[in-house]
Amino acid sequence: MTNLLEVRDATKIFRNGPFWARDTTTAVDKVNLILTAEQPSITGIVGESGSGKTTLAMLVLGQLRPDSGSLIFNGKNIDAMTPAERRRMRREVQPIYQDPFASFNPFYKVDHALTEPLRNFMLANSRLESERLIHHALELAGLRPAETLGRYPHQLSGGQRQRIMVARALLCKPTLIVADEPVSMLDASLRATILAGLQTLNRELGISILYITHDLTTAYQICDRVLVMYAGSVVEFGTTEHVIREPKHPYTQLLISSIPSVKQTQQWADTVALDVDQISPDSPKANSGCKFAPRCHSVMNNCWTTAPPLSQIDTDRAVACLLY
Amino acid sequence: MTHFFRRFPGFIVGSVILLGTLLFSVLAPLVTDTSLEAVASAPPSLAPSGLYLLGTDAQGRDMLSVLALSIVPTLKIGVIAGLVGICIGLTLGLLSGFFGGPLDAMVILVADSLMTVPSIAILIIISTKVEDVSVELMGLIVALLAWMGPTRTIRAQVLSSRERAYTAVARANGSSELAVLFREVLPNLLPFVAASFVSSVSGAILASVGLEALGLGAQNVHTLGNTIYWARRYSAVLRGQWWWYGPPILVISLIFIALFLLSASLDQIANPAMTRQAARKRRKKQGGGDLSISSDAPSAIINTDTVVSVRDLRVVFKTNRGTTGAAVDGVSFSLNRGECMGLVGESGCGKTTLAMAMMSLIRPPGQITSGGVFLGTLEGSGSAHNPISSNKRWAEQNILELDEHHMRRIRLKGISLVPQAAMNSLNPVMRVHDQIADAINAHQHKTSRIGLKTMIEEALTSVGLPVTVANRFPHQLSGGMKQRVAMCIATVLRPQLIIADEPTSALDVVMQRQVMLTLRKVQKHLNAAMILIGHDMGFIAQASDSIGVLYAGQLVERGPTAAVLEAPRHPYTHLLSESLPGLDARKPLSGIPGLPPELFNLPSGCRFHPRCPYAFDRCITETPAMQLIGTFRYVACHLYPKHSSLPVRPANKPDAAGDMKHTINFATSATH
Repeated sequence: MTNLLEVRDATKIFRNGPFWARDTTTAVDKVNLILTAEQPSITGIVGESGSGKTTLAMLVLGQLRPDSGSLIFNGKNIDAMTPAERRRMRREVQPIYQDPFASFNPFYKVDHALTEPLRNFMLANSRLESERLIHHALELAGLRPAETLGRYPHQLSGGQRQRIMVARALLCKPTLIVADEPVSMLDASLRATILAGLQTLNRELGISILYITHDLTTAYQICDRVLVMYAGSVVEFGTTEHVIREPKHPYTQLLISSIPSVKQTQQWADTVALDVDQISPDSPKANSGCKFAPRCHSVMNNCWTTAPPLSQIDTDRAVACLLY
Repeated sequence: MTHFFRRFPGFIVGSVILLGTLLFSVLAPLVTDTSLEAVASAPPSLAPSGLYLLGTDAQGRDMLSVLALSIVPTLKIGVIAGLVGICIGLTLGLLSGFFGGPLDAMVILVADSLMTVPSIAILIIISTKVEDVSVELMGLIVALLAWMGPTRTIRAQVLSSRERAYTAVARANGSSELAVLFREVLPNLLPFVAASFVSSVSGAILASVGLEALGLGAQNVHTLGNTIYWARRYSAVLRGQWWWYGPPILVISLIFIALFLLSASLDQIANPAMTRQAARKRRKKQGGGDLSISSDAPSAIINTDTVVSVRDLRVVFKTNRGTTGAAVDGVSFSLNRGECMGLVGESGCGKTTLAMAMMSLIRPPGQITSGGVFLGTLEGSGSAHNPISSNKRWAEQNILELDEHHMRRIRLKGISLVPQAAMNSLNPVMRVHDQIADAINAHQHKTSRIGLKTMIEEALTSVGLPVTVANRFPHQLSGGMKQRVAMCIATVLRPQLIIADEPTSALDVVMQRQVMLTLRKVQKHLNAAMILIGHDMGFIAQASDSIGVLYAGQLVERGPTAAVLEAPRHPYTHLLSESLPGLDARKPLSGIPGLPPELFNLPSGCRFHPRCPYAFDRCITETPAMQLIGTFRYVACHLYPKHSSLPVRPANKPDAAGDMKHTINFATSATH
């Protein structure tokens, strides 16, 4: 049985500046990820800004080419695809973007975003059929077609617009949805409904979902598995319960302890010392060892010299840390 | 349509002038004898009279006929040049903006170098070399030197709209690159193309009239420029023959005014923000009745510890259609020294508007219609750091009554703002030191250099930054460090009140915690009050002492953070804190049914009743007033004082009509 998606040692390096003073940033560093076809899952990719999660999403969507490593979709390497296969992949892997306001062309009514995929991928044979498909998709996304169609984007709320984006993705009959921070620009009260929607798409329609976020609480609520990224590398990967209940990597532990809780009993302790080394993760010191070492509270001597490999520590968890 | 004309009066005035000029030129031949325009067909040098309405020139031509015949060729040159220019500009601008790379570099190089060449000189050279220039050729020549402007404008617009998320969505929808260019990017450019066309037409007319007045360009036709040339040749000015040169100059001026009005209003249509800025800034206080203030501001105790008290504040927005809506409606509360109030509510509930009103920064179409923001000061004292001193009198001042000059002094020193994307508020070309110094110098004129340096170093240290940061530029700092610099600027003048509008929304959880803990430390150190705006209840729970819940512009609950979150009294507060996913248990996700009401279409009675699971008849008819239900617990809800706490939710209250369902029925719809 072939896997839906295999990411093998994918690496993406961005180069900046003129050739004599070239500045390179490794946005994604040898990332591996397998999504099986028979068990559609929701996989969370968690990390802070600049950790490479959006770059990984763009690799999966085929918008960027990896510098090394490979992406294999339905058993076919993306680089070796025929135009027809490439087109099919473009239809089957659908994105949902962060900003429901910018995702619509203000010139058109929202219908435009829904009729375009049907037209381009030739998914409807008649006007009537395309209407039926659009109504069905909108209903699946929890919208009433009569209250949605024929309006301009600015006449709808952020939550409604994001639902239309979900409906748009559904029209393409995807097998994989890459949702890049789909709720971070929405109110907490709307987040819940959109996320519940994604969860149902996965369970009822068997669509695999890559859920990219910096918010561990939402990832905890909907994901089956969580992959934690730091500076382009995977630092921890496992089932949600394991990773979030008993985080092993010091970075995952830091992330989880920083989540603000409504419960007053779980106060933000002043435990994180506020020295400057810790507040500038954007400039990780170049070292040949673990990238997290400068911020790590349990750093050891060999952390500075040896890069920790991602190693399986129990049946469904892998950690890249020399502590294990 | 009438609405459109009322908004853009320049558009009609411009069109009427232009059409009038054209109509004159087309209709004149029907009523007058235009054959009189030929040389010597009338007596020479006659002043205007009943027979020759605009007189005749030295060669015996009727000026009215000449004028009528010269308008169309003049406009024709302009339109040809404008059309050709815009076609070149559109093609090159689209291609170079969209595809970029070497093509883009080349187009921009050529356009930039041509723009540095004085085009009128080139035009003079070309038209002296070319014999017998026709109107069409003249238009083309002018166009060749006028395409650079439109090209650059359109390229810049393409570049910005190419990066919008909707082009990415179009690609995901299976559109090809060309389809993205023509179907997504191009339509959004149309207003710019129109405005750019009109301004190239007027540029071309200016250039051609200038050339013709020098005796160059299309000479075998009547144009306005040629008439001026002949008037000059025959020294019409010296001879006092104003009827010869006056009318063409008047017509040219009219055409320019018309084109300017058209182009300006097209700009406005393309960029609606300009209309808003142009609207007159009014800070109107209508009569004395408006400032009648009820003093039921929910606060712990109103005493000398009170830093700020907001009383019955009302901010109204007006649409062009004349409807009004209150974005902040009768909000009252007060804050003590050292207190941090979390202001929560969904987006669109008026949180930011309230903050802006407290800084007196509401711009039209918004307007503060009533209420006051009272900032406490110790009268006659130089320092506000010792509020307990007994011989000083506590006085408060309604800062909304101050004029703009005095208000500017209050901002930063009395009330300061940490804006939403604070890291983007720094000037990228100024060192951190200079930016902080600017803020200080704007308020204190005689600070010595050494004093300034100490102040800056102290301020930087207080937000946890090393003093060396002062010499850096913003781009040399990380996101969290920039946020700290913005906080440093906001607190360097020791304000009494800090308003932080989602200060950490762009940061991840780790950074969020560090930045927020620092901000609280500085606030406690200054003993200032703070308003923390956010929609994340967890964040507010961790960072605030008390909470104010805003719904549809009204304060619905106010109390100590711990008590409010443990036992919320208002149903909205309860639903808001329930919608937050936590790490305790993986429970089914729930949101609040429906959406906050629209500003211009507020429900009757309690504004939350359409979404409230507890709503009963009284809620639909009567607006609940803020009531005290315990020590420093205020709530605006009809459930109280009948109940002592929020009762168990009534089961199965049907959704209000028109609201979106909050539980999504995927399961049922997926099967058919």
